[in-house]
Amino acid sequence: MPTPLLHVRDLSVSFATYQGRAMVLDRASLSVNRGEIMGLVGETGCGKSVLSRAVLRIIPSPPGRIDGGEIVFEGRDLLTLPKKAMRALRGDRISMIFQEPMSSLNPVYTVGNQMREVIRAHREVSRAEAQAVCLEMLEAVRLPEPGTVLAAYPHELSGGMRQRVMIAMELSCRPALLLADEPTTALDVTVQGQILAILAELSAREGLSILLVTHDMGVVAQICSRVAVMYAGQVVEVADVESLFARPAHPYTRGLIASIPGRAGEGDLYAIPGSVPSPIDPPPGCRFHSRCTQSGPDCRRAVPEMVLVAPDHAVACHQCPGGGRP
Amino acid sequence: MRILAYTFRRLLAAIPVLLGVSVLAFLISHAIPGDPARLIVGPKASKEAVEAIRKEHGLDRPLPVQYLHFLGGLLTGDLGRSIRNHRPVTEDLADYFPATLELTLASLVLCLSVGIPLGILAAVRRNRFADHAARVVSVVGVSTPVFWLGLMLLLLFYRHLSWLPGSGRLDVTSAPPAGVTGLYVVDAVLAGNWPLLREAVSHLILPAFCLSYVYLAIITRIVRSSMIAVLGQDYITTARANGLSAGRVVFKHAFKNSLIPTVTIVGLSLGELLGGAILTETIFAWPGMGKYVVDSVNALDFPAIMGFTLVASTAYVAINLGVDVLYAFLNPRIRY
Amino acid sequence: MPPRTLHPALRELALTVRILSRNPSAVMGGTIIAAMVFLALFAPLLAPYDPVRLSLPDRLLPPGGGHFFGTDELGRDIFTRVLYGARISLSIGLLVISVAGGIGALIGATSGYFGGKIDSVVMRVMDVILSFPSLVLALALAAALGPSLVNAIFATAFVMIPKFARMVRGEALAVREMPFVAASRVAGAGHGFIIRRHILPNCLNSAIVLATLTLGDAILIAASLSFIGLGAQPPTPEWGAMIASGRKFLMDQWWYATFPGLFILATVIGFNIFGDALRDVLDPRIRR
Repeated sequence: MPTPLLHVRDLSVSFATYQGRAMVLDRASLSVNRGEIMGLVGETGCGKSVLSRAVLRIIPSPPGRIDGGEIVFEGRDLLTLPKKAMRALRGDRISMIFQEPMSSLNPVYTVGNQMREVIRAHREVSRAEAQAVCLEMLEAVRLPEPGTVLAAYPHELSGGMRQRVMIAMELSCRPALLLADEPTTALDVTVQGQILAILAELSAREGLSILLVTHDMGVVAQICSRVAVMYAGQVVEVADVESLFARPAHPYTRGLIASIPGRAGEGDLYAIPGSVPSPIDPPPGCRFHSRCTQSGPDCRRAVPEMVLVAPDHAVACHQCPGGGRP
Repeated sequence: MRILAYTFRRLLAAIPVLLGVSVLAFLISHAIPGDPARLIVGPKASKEAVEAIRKEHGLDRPLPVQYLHFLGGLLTGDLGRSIRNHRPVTEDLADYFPATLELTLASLVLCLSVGIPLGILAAVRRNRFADHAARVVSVVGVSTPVFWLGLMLLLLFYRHLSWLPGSGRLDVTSAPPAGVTGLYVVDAVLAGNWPLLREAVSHLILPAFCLSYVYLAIITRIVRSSMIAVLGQDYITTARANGLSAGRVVFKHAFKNSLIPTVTIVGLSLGELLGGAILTETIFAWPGMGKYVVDSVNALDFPAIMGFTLVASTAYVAINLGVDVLYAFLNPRIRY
Repeated sequence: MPPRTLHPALRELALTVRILSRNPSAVMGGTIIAAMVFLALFAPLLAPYDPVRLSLPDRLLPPGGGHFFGTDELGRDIFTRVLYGARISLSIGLLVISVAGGIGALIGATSGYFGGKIDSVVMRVMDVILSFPSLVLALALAAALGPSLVNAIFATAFVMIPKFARMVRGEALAVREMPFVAASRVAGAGHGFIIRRHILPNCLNSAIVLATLTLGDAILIAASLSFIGLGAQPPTPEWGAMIASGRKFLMDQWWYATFPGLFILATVIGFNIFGDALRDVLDPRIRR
C-alpha cells in the first residue's frame, strides 16, 4: 500500500459550552490517498466539518481545543508544526472551500483583489503574473469572461459563480489536497452538478486529492472513490464507494443508504429512529446502540474498534461478522 | 461617476431636512412664549424700542409671512444682528469659526487615532486585559461631564504641573501667524514659524484632549463591537484558511468591513463634538463659536444664539451627508 | 422556585432580578444608583449643615475638620450641598425621562401603529430634531425660554423625545403585524385601546433599557445647561451650577469644583453600566 497523502489518526476535539465540554471528535481516524476523492458523510453535527477544519488547524480556540491524535500530511504531523509553517501550508498545499459561497468571499474587495492576495501570500510573483494565474484558474472552472469576474465584487455574482471563484482561488497555488465542506449544499440542483463535475475533472487532471464533506449520499455516489462514515464524533465505517453501497456493514450506514430518496423502494422514506446522543455526556459503548436495531450486550459496554471486513473496507461494529473487538 | 450621482441625490435629500431645521429654529425664536421683539432688543430696552423693533421686523404680521422673511434672510446669509455689538451675526461667527474648526479637527484626529486601534485591540483580545481596560476607558468616557473634565485637566496640567498653558490659542503676547486657513497650527507650518507652531500646539493639547475623550469612548466601543461581529464572518475563516497572516486578516479583511458601521457613528458623534465644543471652549477660553455662544447666553444676545444654532445644525447635516458618501464609497453593496 | 401563585409578570421580574444579581456590572451599577438614591432621600438626615445658609467666617475652607469637602465662597458646606444636589440631579433625570419617554412613546406608538402618511410626517419631524447636536438645541431652547431649572428640564426632555419615539415606533411596526392585534381589531377594539393594551406594553422592555441609558445623558445635559447658566440658579445646590461657581476658585480652592463633578461622574457611570447590563439581560435572544 502506498503511503496516504493525509492520515488522520485518533483525532479528538472538544468545545467548551455552557453545559460542559462537548467531545465533538472522539478518536476519529481516516486517510486520503493521492489523487482520490474521499467522501466524508454523516448527519449534521456529527463532527465532519470540525474534522476538516482541524486538518487546517482553523478551529476557533477558545472554545475549541484539539485534545489528541495526529494529522500526518506529506509525512509531517500538522499538529506539531510551528504556527508559521502551518500558515505557509494553508491555501498553498492544503486548501479549503466552504458551504456558503455567499459569505465566504469578502464583500468589500473585488474577486481579483482576493485571488491575487492568496497567490502573492505564497508565491514571489508580480501583480501581473498573479493576474495571469487568476485568469487561467477562472477559465479552468469554466467561468465565462474571467476578466469581468476578476473586476467584480462578490455581490455582483451568482451563488454558483461565487463557488467557482472560491474553487479557482483555492486551487490557484496548486494544492495537493482540497478540503471541500459541503461545497454544493447551498446551491441549486443544476448548479450542484456543474460544481461536482468541475471538482471531479480537476481531481483527475491535476492529481488533486479532495476530502469532500457532505451529508448527501447522492453526491458521494456521484464523484467519490472512497467514503468514510461518521457518527457522533467517530468514524464508524470506511470503504470504497462500490462496496459501501453494495455491502454496507455498519447498521448506521445501512440506515443512511436506506434513507436516500428513491432508494428505499416504493412509498415511504426511511428514517433512522431516535436521535444523536449528546456530545457532552456520550453513552458508554457504541454510540449508536440506542438507535440500533441489532444491538447486543457488548454494544452497551465497549467501544467497538475499526476492523477490516474486506480489503479496503473497515467497520467499527460488534455485530458485524469479524467486527467489534478483534 | 456613480458616487457622484449618489452624492447629488443625497444632497437633494438634505434640502427638506435643512428646511425643517429652519422651521424649528424659527419656531424657537418666534413662536415660543415670550416676546420675540424683546428677545431681539434685549431685556433692558424701553417699551417704545420694543414696538419699533416689532414693526421693523414685521413681527406683527402672520407667522407664515414672518417665516418666509426669515428664510429669505437665511438664504442670503443674513442671521440678524448681534445685540451686544450690533454687528451682523454672520460676520461674528465667521471670525470665530476657524478656532472651532481647528479644535474639532484636532479632537477628531485624536479620537480616531486612539479610538480605532483601542477598539481593534479590545476586539482581537476579547475578554482579556486590553478589552477590560478599553471598557473601563469607554464607560468612564461617556459618563464624564466635559466641563468638569476640562477643569480637572487645568488643575493638573496647568496649575500643578505647569506643563501646558491653560487658556487661549496662543500666549497673550504672541500675534497670530499670517495665513489663509485661520488654523494657527496649519498657518504656522505654512509660514515656517516653528516657535509659534510649538506654542499653538501646546495651547491646543488640553482642549483637544478634553473634547475628544467622550467621543473617543464612543468610537472605541463601536469599533470593538463591529470588529467582533466581522471577525465571526465566513470570509474571515476563508482568509485564515488561505494562510494569510493574522495582521492581514485583521487589518485588511476585518478592518474595512468594520469601518462601515463605524463611519456612521463617527458622523453622528462629530455633531456632538460641536456641542461639546461649547463647553470646552468656555473652560479653556478658546475664542471659537462655542465660547461666543456662551458669552451670548450671558448677554442674552438671542440673535447670536440662534445664528450659532443654525450654523451648528447645518454643519451637522453636512457632516452626515459626507459620511453617507464615505459609506457608499466603503461599501460596494450599497444601491446607488 | 417561585411560588406557583405568582403573577407571570412578577415571575419575569424575579427572573430578571436573579440574572442581574449574577452580573457583576449590573451589581456595581445598581449599587451606585442605590447609594445615590439613598443619599438623595436622606440628605436632610445625613447632611451636617444647612445647604443654603451663609456663614461668612467659614469661607473657602479646605476639606477636613467639620467639612469633608470643604466650604464655598459663602461658607456653605460643600458636602451638604452635594448631598442635596443628588436630590436635584436625580429628580431632573427622572423628570426628563418621564416627560421625554412618555411623549416619545406616545408619538412613536401612534406613528408606528397607523403607519403610512402620518408615520412618514412624524418621523421626518423627529429627523429634524435629530439634525441638531443635542446640547446645541437644548441650549437654544433653554435660552429662548429663559434661564430656569424648569425650562432646562423641558429643553433637555425635548431633545430626547426622538430617541424614544424612534425606538417605540420600531417595536410598534413589528407588534402591529402580530396575530393578537388583528384578533383584537376583529373583536372590535378601537385604535386607542390597541395602542394602550398591546403596542405600549410590548415596548416596555426596550423602553426601560433606553430610559436607564438616557438617564445618564439627561443628567449630563441638564448639568451642562446649569453650568452655562441656563439651568438651576443660585443658591440651588445643583451639581452643574456648583461647578460653574467653583470654576472661579479652581486655581486655589480645588475642592470646590471637584467634588460635585465626581458625584455627577459616579451617578452617570452607575446608570450607564446598569443600563448596559439590563440591555443584555432583557434581550430575549441572550436570555437563559
